Amino acid sequence: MMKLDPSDLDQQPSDGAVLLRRGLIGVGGGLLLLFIASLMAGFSYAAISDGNFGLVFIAILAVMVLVFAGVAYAMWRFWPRGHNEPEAPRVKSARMILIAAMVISMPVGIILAASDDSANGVFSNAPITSVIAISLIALWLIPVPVLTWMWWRRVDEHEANAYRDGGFVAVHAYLFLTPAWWIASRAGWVPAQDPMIVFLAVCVVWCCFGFARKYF
Amino acid sequence: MKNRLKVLRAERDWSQADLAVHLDVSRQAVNAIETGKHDPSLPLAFRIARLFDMPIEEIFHDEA
Repeated sequence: MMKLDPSDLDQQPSDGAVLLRRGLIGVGGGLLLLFIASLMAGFSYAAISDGNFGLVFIAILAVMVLVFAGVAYAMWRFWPRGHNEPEAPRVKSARMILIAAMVISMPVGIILAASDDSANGVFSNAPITSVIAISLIALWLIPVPVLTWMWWRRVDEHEANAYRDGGFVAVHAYLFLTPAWWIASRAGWVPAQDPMIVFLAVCVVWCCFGFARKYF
Repeated sequence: MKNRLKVLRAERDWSQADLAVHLDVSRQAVNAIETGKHDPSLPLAFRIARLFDMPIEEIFHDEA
């Protein structure tokens, strides 16, 4: 008798659908919680400043707390739990290497964001000091490539194919996007090309296509 | 390329995840092979054949 296999049941969402729902609930719910928390903090601060601690203040704050708790509960309630099944050592180690690469990359974003006060701090073109530049380049060029190479050696052939196909599409996106933008810029239709926007666009195409190839 | 992977693992009462652990690949890889979305490489095909103790051509069939 065949064991119950989640992937064989039509009503079970695919891995990709589970991951997408997690992303949507995590980002959407997280932003909503952040918004409500900010609203509560702002409302409480205004009340403290004005000295208005009446029944109305308590009632409104209580409603806000209830809404916050309701959103948190809804996130927990609708969070896709996945299949909770055994995993091959190769899959586990590949995931751990990827997480390590992301953790090491995080300081790059944090330092870049802190280096510029404007809204686009991470991708700003504003000058930075030599110390920051050397630190960021060292972080980006030494541990991250080593970890990504280790990850590449650990992924199975299906994921490697998905990654390779995503890269192929991304290179073609680069191939068409860059000259078109350059020509449009020379005609005066759009601003001059920003390498980081092109970099981001290529990364997004690569990730989206690779994700779709792996999970759908 | 068609294959009998689903039937063979069913005979052993294995889930896709169980087979994935035996082959040291992800469950998505097993699912992609079973549904014909991914043709395994020769080394993986040989691993599958060894695992089921069968010749490759008894597991994988050319559709042509």
